[in-house]
Amino acid sequence: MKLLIILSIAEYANEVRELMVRNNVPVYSETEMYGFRTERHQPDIRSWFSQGDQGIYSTLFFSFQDEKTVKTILKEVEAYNKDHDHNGDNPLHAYQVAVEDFA
Amino acid sequence: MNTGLAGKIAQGFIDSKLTLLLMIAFLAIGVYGVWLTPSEEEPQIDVPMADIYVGYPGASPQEVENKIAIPLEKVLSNISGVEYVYSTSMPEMAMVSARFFVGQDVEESLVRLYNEIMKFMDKKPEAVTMPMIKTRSINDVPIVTLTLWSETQDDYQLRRVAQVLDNEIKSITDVAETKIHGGRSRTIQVVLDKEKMAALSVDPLRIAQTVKVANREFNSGSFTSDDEEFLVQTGSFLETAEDVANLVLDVRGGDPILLRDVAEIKDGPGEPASYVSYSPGPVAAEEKGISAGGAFPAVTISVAKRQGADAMTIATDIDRMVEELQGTVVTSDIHVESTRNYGKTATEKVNTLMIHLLVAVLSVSFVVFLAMGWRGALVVFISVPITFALTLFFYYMYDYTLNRITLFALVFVTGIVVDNSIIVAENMHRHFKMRNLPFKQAAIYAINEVGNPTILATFTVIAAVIPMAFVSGLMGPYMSPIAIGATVAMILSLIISLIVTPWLGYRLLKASRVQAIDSSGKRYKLEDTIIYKVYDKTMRPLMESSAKRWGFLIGTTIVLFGTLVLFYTRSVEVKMLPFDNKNEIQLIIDMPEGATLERTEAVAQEVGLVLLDIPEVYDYQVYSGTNAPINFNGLVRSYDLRQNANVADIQVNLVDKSLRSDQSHDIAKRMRPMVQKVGEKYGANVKVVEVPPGPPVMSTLVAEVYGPDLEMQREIGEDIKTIFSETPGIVDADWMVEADQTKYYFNVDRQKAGMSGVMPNQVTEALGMILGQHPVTSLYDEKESSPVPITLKLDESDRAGIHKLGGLNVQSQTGAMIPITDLVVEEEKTLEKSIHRKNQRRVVYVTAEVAGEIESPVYAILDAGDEIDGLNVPEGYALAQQFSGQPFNSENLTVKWDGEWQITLEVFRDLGIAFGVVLLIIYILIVGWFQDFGVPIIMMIAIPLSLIGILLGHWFTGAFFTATSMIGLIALAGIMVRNSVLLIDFIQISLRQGNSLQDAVVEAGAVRTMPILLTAGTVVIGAIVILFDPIFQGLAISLMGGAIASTALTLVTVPLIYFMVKNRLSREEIIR
Repeated sequence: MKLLIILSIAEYANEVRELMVRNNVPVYSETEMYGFRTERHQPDIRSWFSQGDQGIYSTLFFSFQDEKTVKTILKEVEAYNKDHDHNGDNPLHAYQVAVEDFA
Repeated sequence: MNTGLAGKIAQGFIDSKLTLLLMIAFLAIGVYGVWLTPSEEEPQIDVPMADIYVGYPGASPQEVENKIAIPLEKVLSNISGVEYVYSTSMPEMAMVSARFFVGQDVEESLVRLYNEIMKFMDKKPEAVTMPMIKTRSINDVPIVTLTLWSETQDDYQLRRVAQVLDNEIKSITDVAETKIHGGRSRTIQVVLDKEKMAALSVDPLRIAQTVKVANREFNSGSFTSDDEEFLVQTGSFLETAEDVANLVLDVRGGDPILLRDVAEIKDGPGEPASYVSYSPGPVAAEEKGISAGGAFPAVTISVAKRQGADAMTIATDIDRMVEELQGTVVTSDIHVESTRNYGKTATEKVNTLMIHLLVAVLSVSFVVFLAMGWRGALVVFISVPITFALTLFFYYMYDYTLNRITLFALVFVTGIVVDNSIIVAENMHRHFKMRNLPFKQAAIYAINEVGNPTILATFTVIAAVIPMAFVSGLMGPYMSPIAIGATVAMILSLIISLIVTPWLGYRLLKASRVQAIDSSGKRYKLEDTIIYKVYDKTMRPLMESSAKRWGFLIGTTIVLFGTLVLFYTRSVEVKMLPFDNKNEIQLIIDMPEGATLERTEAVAQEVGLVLLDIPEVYDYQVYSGTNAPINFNGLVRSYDLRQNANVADIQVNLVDKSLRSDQSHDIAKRMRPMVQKVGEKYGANVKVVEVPPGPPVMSTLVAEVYGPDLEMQREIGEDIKTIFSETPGIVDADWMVEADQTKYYFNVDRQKAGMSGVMPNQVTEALGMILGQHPVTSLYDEKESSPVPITLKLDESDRAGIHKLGGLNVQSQTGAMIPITDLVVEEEKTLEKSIHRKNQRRVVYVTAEVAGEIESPVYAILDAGDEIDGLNVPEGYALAQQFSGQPFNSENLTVKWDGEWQITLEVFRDLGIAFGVVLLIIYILIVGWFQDFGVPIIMMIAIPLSLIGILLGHWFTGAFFTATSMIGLIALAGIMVRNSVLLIDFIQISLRQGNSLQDAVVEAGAVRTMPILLTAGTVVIGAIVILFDPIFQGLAISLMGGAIASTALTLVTVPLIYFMVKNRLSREEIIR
């Protein structure tokens, strides 16, 4: 039994959902995330208005699955990242975490 | 996503298929709106006006004033909504006019007017005739005039053709009133022979009665017979001239005396009451291959349209109608010249403004292209037309017509509405470049970031223009569409910038997702940019040295006051609106009172010949004894009442403005001395009247003389008229007091009349019938489209002079013929002059125009005012000059300035008040944003700075400071404050990031310079297209000069003052 975690920016959330369905994940959960990059603020000479901190909207998916399914999904995520988001700024992040025990 | 309102809207539309559909739909309804909205020349102006004519036979002006004018004025003043009540008491007649406030509902006002006049009915003296009420409105102005002229046909024939053509034109949809000017109409003239009448003992009264009585026919009722009802019609109408000639007047010794025995019956044209002619000018002559200056008999049909109808459609229909009737109704020897076509001019105006709009959008897109590349430019180029399309649809829904004012509103805001789209597109562009966020989130973030400030900025600009909607008086309808149009366009541009621009930017600006790191691999640093270096070099020394700071600020203040001196030295002249470049000019000729129609016609023709020396004249029409078809100016000046033998109008049509280099105003200035020289020879007053670009007034310069005594008023009036004619730059001086005209009074000697068995009224009626030529009755000819009057008269030679009337007799009760001259005592008197009243006070009007040396009534008043102060007034009186309102009472002598001055005063006063309100609203908006009572004042310092550029701009170009310049000043206030808001906002952000005040000021300035310049650039470029329009030039100069000067000064002055105010505080205290 493994814990599958996928972190996706809001834009790709639908793709992740489709991915879950495609791989017959019977149950999964998701939660909205708001994350920050703390690079130093660099004023842009052509900016009209002041800017505050820029947070990124993401969605965090998690589900408990058998290892085989998780592996397939990780592969698909990898392939997806290759095909999409050419700049590599905001790829999908998928994690497989071992579940030591459960009752 | 957790975003503000702007972000939420953008989120909904940025990736929606609906957005594209919406864009197409918006454009489509815009095109549909333009197609449906009627276009016309003048804006819609609702000023209910009515003239009430009341006759009082035999009464002197003084009596007319007391018995009719004063009571009627009181009645009219009771009506709510009435602004002015004017009256003119003439011999035997009063004309009382009521003018309601601008914008009052026409129907409602007129119902109230009729109601009040009904109350007057029981108070009026018995002899007074029923009041005749004629309402006036802008829709009475003919939009098309057709002049029929011919080398072979006479005016009588032309009028008959015109009559048929007129009937056909009336059947065209949306055609309102049509009028025929000139041409004699068919009349049956009974020319009496004095000798024969005396010999056969017949007097004029009997003839009149016989004719009248014979011309009867009516339904008498019915009878039944054999169970059937038969209708009975009794009498017989006079149907031909023969019928009239064969009327039996009397039977003497079994022999009938027929009308033809004592009179000659003529069937044909009546006596001319006016002469109308068409003359080709130099241009028409060359075009048509005829000689210039020949005066051909002519008849003009003028056609007015219904309110809200499209002028162009009607004009086209009329052209088609004329074309189709060519050959059948209009024979080949009759030329039909279209001497006015407001449909065409309106369409041209609309088209020119549409092109201006397109050029403005293109040039603004070009500025954006320089800053953001072609993709950014494309976003702006697509967003702005959608904004305008929606605004045009709003015009349609709001019942506005497309006219020069409503379209001007669009041209005016072009430079400003693009800002919203530019701000949004630019910020998206910047965020895409920074790559801090995922693509779509970057877009939404960018929109959300600028959303609230954009909304604030939009409202600042709206706050600046909306008070213009509250300008009162006649100028109101010229101002409010600008304010409302601009406001709607601003709101729509805000909506478009949140719905359409994100969608477009999301698609078009993708490619700009380039590296934020430049080619050399270095991350870009603010300190390395040229703008930063220049700004730093300028600001640091000023901030470090208190002396330099004060030097700069005091220097700027001196320059500001220095430019204000330009007003005082008249280097920049104030005028309400400059003259427009029109294709028509009118000449108004007033011959001395008592001049005959033929004399007037001869002088008018001679004046016309002078016009041939002006190469731009296309053609001209002379209307002697009647008015030329009125335009809006003539409507207000009541030119339609010019129906005397001693008046003539010349309608001069110029070649189209695209084909000449001189503006119509310059041509008018050239024309004036030439025509007046001819006029002087014959004692005629010739005025050159131009169509004003704004609301018309009685005259540009009007001095109203009020006082306790009419004679005294007239004396002062005459002095003022002399001052006017001697002041250089004041032309066409005149006054509304008639020159002396001889009038003969035939006082009936009651005793003699009684003893001769003649009723006094027999004498008065007999003379009235013959001299007044009132028709006795009219002929019943089924085929005639208008009634054919039957008139009695003496032969021309028999009535030219008092002594000639001698042979005329009246029949006494005993049957004896008594010569009229035996019964009357002839008395020669001077005709009593009319008495004018305005708002219940007696007034003498002195009028003049300004042209040449002085072009603005303001300076004419200042110049003439000094002279008027030096006038001698009767002992115990003082002469005061008043610039607004009416004198409280007539106890003292007062000169009240009116005319264009009144409107100038109203407009600048209302705009001034509006400006004050604008400042207050802007202050409130900024306090709301910054939560600080002091900062807004620093920001608003930028507003007066724009005056430097505005005034210098006007000075360099030699243009007038007009109402449109003032609009520019007001609109700039909004834009400049927005720039200041952005500057100070950035200083505070920079302070929060830990920078010192000095560094923060420099950083903010350096960062803000580019967008501020871009804003100024779009405003300047957007204004260039209207720079050459004579009316909107002032606005263009204001926007360009003001934007350049205040942008430059705002960037230095506002941060500098902020620095000076906050310098003593610690960083924490400033940002708290």
